[in-house]
Amino acid sequence: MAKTETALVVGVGASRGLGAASARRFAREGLHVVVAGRNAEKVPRVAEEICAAGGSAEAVIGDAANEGDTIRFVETAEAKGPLSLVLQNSGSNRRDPFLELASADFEQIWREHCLAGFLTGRESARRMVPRGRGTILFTGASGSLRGSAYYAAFAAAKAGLRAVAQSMAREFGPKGIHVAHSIIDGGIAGDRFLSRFPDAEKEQGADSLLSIDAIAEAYWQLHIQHRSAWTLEQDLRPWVETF
Amino acid sequence: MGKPVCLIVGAGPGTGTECARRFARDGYAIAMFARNRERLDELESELGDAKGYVCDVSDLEQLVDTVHKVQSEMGPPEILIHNAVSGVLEGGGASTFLESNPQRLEHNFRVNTTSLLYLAREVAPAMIEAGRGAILVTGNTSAMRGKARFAYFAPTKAAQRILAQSMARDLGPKGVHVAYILIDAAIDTPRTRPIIAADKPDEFFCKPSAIAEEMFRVAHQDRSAWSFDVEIRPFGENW
Repeated sequence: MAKTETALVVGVGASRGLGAASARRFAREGLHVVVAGRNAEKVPRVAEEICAAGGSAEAVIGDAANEGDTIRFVETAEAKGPLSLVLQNSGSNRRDPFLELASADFEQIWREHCLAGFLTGRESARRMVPRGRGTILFTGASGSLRGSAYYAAFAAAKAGLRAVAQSMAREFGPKGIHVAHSIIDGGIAGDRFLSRFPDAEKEQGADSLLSIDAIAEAYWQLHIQHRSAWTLEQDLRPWVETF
Repeated sequence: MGKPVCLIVGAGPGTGTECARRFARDGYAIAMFARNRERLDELESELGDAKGYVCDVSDLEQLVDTVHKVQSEMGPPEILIHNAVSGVLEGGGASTFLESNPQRLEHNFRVNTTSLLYLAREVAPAMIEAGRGAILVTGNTSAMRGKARFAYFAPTKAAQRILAQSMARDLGPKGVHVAYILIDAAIDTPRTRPIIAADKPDEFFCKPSAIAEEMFRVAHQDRSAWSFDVEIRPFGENW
């Protein structure tokens, strides 16, 4: 019997987060999902919840910007079966007046998004290219396209990640690997945003934040696109978002 | 309650036909506009719950009249697919910048861009009232760049995309999802294949059924995560 195909989600934190929602969505389709992140309490809980719901998942703790950890993420997935779907979702955000932005913080944000994306992308592609199939997804933001005031670190890191995705897509598309980058343009209704703005949805109205399940659905749909009509980039925003 | 209506303007042999099939499969009644009665008849009998209307999109008065006919005969469309296109194949012909007739630009602009405005103004009010609806516009890379020999076509597609974007920002908060599906490829239809690339392998082309699948997906996105720009291309495309 053929081995179960596996998925890897890098950048998983709280259960109520985009990484976890995506992992749940992928597990629902029968993939064994490896959830990877830095938080040794939260990440295993996401895997346990998937298993309790009848899915198959395991947690790996590590730093996506660390080359050795990223290799371990991919190896963990491959040990269970061929890696067919990867989501690179890691990285934080910070707001700094430009003159006060420390070089270490600037570099750290770049490592979390751009370097981590490169490492996850490269390690995944190394496994997928010989098989001629697989999907590699990247989470982008409106900052991928423009540098807003106070967000120089985040926007530079996200723009870099977008270029990594684009370059990979052009090299690996003809080799059967679907690389896609999604521009998330709005607040995400997950722990990170809601812990800072708990009443945002109440104030702005129904569906004014991006539902984590709706984004996860869009990610899954990218994975099942026919190769004669692949998307590299899609924007996703709430219906009431001004843009 | 009757089936929701999907109006496809430009029911050509490729994308338009496959969209009709895809949306019919999931329970839509299909209204189709095309110039060719024969193809409409074939699709009507194939799909069952579908009605074809002969319509020359460049005749804006006729276009609006035909939409009114759909509204009274089938009900207000919940989905509009704007797939009418004029001038896409002129680039490969004699349409160099100096040789072509400037009137071609006006004609192409009317079919590709102005008709979208007229159509959207007719169908959007009922969508707003219902609190839901989708307007999907098919485009191509001419919306992003003007290549040599496309002077009479590319400006109309660029304008069409910007019109759609303006509509999206206006109609989105009113519950109507507007999206621009940019197809970066030659589409595999009996008409395009011999003209564009008779010698190319299958992999060079975008399959109309795959495009229709993507259109269906975009039309049914959750409103908390809507796409505006959607670009698709074949895996082997050099770009």
